[in-house]
Amino acid sequence: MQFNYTRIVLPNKQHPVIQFFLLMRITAILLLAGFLQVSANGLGQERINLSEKNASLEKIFTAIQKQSGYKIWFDKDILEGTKNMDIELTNASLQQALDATCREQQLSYQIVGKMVVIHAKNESEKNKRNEKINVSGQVLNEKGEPLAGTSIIVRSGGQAVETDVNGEFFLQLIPGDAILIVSHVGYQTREIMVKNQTKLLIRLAILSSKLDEVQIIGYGTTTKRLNTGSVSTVKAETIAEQPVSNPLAALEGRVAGLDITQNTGVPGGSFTIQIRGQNSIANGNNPLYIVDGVPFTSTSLNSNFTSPVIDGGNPLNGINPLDIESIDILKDADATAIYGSRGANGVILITTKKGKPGKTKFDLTAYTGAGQITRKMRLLNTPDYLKIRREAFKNDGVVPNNSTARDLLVWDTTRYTNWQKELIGGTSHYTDLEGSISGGNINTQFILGGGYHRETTVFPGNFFDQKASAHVNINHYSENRKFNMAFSGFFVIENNRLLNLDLTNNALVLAPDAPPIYDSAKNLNWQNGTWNNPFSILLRNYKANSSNLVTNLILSYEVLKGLKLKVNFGYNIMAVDEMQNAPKKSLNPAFAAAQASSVFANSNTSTWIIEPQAEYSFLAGPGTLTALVGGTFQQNLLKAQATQATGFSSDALIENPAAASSLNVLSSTYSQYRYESLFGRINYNLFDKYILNITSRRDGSSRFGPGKQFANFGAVGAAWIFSNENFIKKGIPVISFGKLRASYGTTGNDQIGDYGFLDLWSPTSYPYQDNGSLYPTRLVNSDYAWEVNKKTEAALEIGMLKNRILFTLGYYNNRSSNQLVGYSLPLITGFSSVQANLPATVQNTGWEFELNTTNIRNKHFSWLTAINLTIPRNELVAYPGLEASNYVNKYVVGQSLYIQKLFHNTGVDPQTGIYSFEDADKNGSIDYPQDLIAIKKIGKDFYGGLQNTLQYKGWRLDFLFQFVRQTGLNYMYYFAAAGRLSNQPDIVLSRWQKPGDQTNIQQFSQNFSSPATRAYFNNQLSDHATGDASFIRLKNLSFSYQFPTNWTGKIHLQDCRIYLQGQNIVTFSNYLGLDPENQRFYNLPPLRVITAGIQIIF
Amino acid sequence: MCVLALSTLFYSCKKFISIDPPTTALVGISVFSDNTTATAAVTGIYNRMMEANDQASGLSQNISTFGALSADEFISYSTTADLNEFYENAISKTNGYLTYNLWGNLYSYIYSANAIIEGLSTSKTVSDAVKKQLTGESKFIRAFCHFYLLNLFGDVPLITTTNYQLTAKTGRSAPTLVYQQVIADLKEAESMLASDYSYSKGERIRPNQWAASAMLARVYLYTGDWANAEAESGKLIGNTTMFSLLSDLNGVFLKNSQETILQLMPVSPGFNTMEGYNYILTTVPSIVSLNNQLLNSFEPGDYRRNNWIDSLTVDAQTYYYPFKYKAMGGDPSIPVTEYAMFLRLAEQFLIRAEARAMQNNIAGAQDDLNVIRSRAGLSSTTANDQAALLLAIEQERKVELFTEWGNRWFDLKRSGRADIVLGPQKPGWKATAALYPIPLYEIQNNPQLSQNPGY
Repeated sequence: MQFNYTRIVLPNKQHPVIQFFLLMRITAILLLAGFLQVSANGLGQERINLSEKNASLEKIFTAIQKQSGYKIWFDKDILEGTKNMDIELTNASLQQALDATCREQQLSYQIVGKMVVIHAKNESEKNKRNEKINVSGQVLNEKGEPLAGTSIIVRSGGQAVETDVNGEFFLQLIPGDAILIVSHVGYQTREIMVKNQTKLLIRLAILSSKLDEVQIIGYGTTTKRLNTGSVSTVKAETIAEQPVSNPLAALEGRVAGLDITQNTGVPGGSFTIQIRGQNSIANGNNPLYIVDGVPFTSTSLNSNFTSPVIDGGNPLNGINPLDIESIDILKDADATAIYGSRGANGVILITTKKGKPGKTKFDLTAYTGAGQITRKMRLLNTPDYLKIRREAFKNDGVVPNNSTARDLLVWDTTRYTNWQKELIGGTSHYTDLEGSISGGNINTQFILGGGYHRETTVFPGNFFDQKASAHVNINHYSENRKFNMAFSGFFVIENNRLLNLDLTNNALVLAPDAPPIYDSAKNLNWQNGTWNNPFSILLRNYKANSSNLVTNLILSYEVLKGLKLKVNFGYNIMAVDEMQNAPKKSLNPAFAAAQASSVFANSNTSTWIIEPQAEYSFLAGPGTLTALVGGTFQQNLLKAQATQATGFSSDALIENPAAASSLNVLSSTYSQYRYESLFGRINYNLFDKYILNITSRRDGSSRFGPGKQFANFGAVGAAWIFSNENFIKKGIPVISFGKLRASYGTTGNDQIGDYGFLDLWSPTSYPYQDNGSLYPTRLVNSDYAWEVNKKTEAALEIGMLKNRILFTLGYYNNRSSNQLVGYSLPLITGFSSVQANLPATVQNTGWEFELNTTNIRNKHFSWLTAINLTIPRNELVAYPGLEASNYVNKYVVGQSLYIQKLFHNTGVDPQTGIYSFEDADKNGSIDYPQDLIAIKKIGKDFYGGLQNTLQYKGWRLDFLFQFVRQTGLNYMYYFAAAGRLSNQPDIVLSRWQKPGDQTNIQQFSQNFSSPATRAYFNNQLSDHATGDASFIRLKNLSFSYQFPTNWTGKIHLQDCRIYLQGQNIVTFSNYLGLDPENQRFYNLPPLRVITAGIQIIF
Repeated sequence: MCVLALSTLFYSCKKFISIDPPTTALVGISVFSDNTTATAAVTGIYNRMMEANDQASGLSQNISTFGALSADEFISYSTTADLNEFYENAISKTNGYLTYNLWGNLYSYIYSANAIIEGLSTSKTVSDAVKKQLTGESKFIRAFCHFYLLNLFGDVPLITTTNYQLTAKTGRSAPTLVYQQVIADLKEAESMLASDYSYSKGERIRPNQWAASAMLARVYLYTGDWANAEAESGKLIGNTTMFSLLSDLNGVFLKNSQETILQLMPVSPGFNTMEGYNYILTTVPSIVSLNNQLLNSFEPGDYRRNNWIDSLTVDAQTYYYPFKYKAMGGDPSIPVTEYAMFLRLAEQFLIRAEARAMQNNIAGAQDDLNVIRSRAGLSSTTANDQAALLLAIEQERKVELFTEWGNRWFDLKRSGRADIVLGPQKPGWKATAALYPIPLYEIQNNPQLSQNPGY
């Protein structure tokens, strides 16, 4: 048995800090009572009752420890040779119990504070002489391999050393009764009593408890056990199980409070991400990304003019997911307030991989695979399609002619093309190669890695996205371990070659009898200009070359014991060069005047950051105080330009802007952002039971006008680890870990764009008589200030059955006020609004639930389950002047920001066969906006994931089900009126046909001015076009086999693993549309990807 | 802890975060520090007027189209309610064209003009000559915009500052007050502006002293100041070296024609005027075509009927369209030949004729009227008393100035004959339709504004 004990402290009841914590404890007890209904009987009881026959000493000591609340410390070795015994104790004191136990054995004991140390009898005599001895030893891991870089600290003496490459260490002249604290990241910390032994062999067990893993937080680390804030972590292991090219895709369904939607299945595409809901009405809702200490852009650099096919793209495509060691999602005030004005929407910390001391390790991974769209819509076949078209003409009383009904009269009506299969039904291919070399010694560790990723698309044609990446990390300590230098850097280049438009919409709406793609001469068939051949889009290119460099250097020096000075330098440069074109050969020849055109865009952003910091950790009174103070100086520069070119003499020159006769600058952007701050944090830890964490930050930002540039933010977080209280230990022994934590604080949002406070005149699109012209861009109000987000959180964390069950239940309430919105003005002022702070308030509240269980764990088989669930709620609490603002038809006070105001569809009138709507103002017509009375939330009611990990010997199976309950916009919102020249889902066949029919699909019509078409337009804006878009999706599946070490050893491999992985394997949903996740009809759904790979380490 | 808290609170380093303005735009103060950029601010107004969606450029949402639809010149084919409502004389107060293209844009030009006047008044680096010219142009624009607002909407807010805290609460002013400001602005413009077109390289695409006089003549006429109207229009008619009527009607709307007092230059590459682009029919009309009533009101033999109107026959149905502008545009390789006409000499003859008639100078009025008639190939007028002459002038204005800048619409309202003329032609006509409604958006955002009767 291992006792995991880290500190001996002598409580002094008079100390004011303790009195404060006692007060807090009582408050917290009251809170806890509500959760657990604990009776307080156990308090202060130290009487021991024990009745055991032939029990091992270990068992007896454990029982005494549980009942007394005293930590009983012994080394397993001294129990060797002791006898099992019978023991009978009734209402015994601790001393009586220990006497009874030790009397019979060759043992003695010593009570030190709240700890009992068991000695072998003879040794305890020797210890009293307090000899100084030299001790050498070796530290091994669970496999018996040496653990280099293990730190060994002599308690009380203060000596500290680390093990070398062979896991060996040497300590000079330490007391013979010294206690060594042996710790290594990822392993359980042990305390070893020297007991005058000069040779020690120490084995460390790998950490089974997630509670003690290192938890990265803003400007530091802690553990899940001691953290006062709300932080979730996704580790490299989880990311590696998913064949994704954007790290955001690896987070979907895995973290409570984190809502990620993949907007398109096209490689390099965009994501929508929100942590705990939408806080800002008009400004950015992106989290703050920090990659290895460097702020990373949250907005895409891809130009709106060129990149519709990737839906604008996402900057995190510039990070290789397999270079990432961990992604930490910071959610509450305690965790985010240290980021001050940028933390309102949460923070995502991305940390790349680092080398580990030991043998030089070569790690090679390769996978390959294929992808297809997850779902297809059930659309009409040709006979049904022709039927609805003919019926529509009949209903309208119109005779079809060649121009209105080319699908009926001109085209070959016996044809059938499954356009979904033809255009988006292909298979994409994936290839990924990764390699790294890592290693080092105790003082210097390194990793050097490279990767290559290529994926193609499901569209016809040769399109692909490929990325190459390099990653390096060097960590060095001086010989005396006081100086540390850590350098990390990665570089990714991406080469995206796509078509310029997504074919998804074509795949859904093209008539099933549309003409053949190619004519008999294998040329694109335009059928005399009667259709827009979708294959013409394949001739239009989108090309993007991107590069992303992130580098970071940290220098630190331990000036005094516990006082560390540190400075962090970071630099990021990201550049995107794009081109999109439509050559003449891709244009319908019916429009002779149509010209070939190209758009060229390039943008780059660079950021530098310097953050000096000082951290001081010391014993203060009975606890440990850690104080951090630091500053930030940061600058971002963004430059972007987009130019349209027309008038090419030949399609062959379309990629050369110099060959164009006309160039038109579509946009030109330059912005500079500077930011500085001073931040501090004080953490006080008392007995590992009571932890108080206070953070504050003063920020200055160039985005605000004079006098408004600076603001203060701060938070307080507190945790009470009640499982370290005796009454819990004794009263509810099933609880192995219990923590109550709460936090409150403020953060800001400055995602408002640069220069908003300046009176700017911008150039007009075109010159006037050869000279450039200027126009005033906006009204100037330099008085606006930060949006402030006040965050409150309370959470209960419980571990049961030796932490085999760990769960967290959290409640948060974030109120974002001082909203920066366009304050509506009459147009006589020259503008419709001015940027101003309004006392509008947005509230996000929610429950978050996370459960991790170890269902089975034995030598060969383990089964772990993780569940997370988020129930969010968003409300616009106040918006003075909403009625007169531009948002009047969008928002309602008291409702969520995710609502839409819609007409209320009351069904199809059985007599007329046309949709009817509620006429709220009873004026006889359905009017916008007066009759918008149906309020529908288009968003999530709850979401989460269920993950299982099964391991048997070398076999491992992981699978994640993602579940979302939500309302979305269905096909009726996007599709043309049934009866027009556009295919339809087959459910429209249940339409109204004759008076008396009861159905929810109205009659067909092909005429723009018919009553049915007018009703169709109203229906698009009605609650009938919304519906259930909930889904359960087998998001990820990973199946791997690790070859046994005796086998791999023979061929000199350290490790060898083969695997099958899949993403978006199965989806269950009743959604009336293509994909319930992205709910787009112009974007490709996320793909189902299956890959097979191998990993070799040697 | 206290030390930390205090240092956190009092820490501030303003210098680091004081950044330079962006390189892609100019801060107001630097716009007015230099002759070139200050001029660019003024031409920016013309530029925006000529951009596709603005009210002057001639796309479907401009004053010429709105005026011709509200009066009896155009038939609407638009499926857009926003445009049809002008034709039906039943404009809703939430009409987007009315709110943004008309009201909103005119006031945004007024904002720019005020910003330029204010910026130049404190500038020490813009040269006096340029300052004078640009201030004059800005006053001209401010007057021009207020003139149209007043004639379309009735009492309107008079805006002479950029301070939004004041302007957001400005109520409607009586027409006399607005006209007082318009006249004052135009007089100042007349005195400040150049007397030739040298500042715009000889092109007639920025207002000069003569444009101010022409506007002033029109304003005097509209306010019944006949003597001044006669005097101002007389200045232009007398400047025969600069201005003359072209005998070839097909040359009138060409760029920098001798008849031009002020034109604006199209800015979208490859395009001539938006009137040419939108009015000329190549297929069944989708926006507008000319009303038969207008076609029938030309006297036989009127050159303007043949030169300024053309037709297209589709499926045995003939549609007529204004053909004053003859270039459709759309091809960047063909040079631009036509500019958008704002003020031309023919109107000045008709202004003087009317002012003289009002002052009972029958012979003088007949002379001016006959100048216009003879160019159109018509015989001298037979009207020989004041009442008959005024009707003859109204008729002449109808066939000379049709589909230009709402002249017909304003004439009918001015003469008080809107009900008599439009009542029988337009089924939805009501007397209150003579004024457009104040946009609802404005009333919601400015409680000082009231609505016109009938809305």
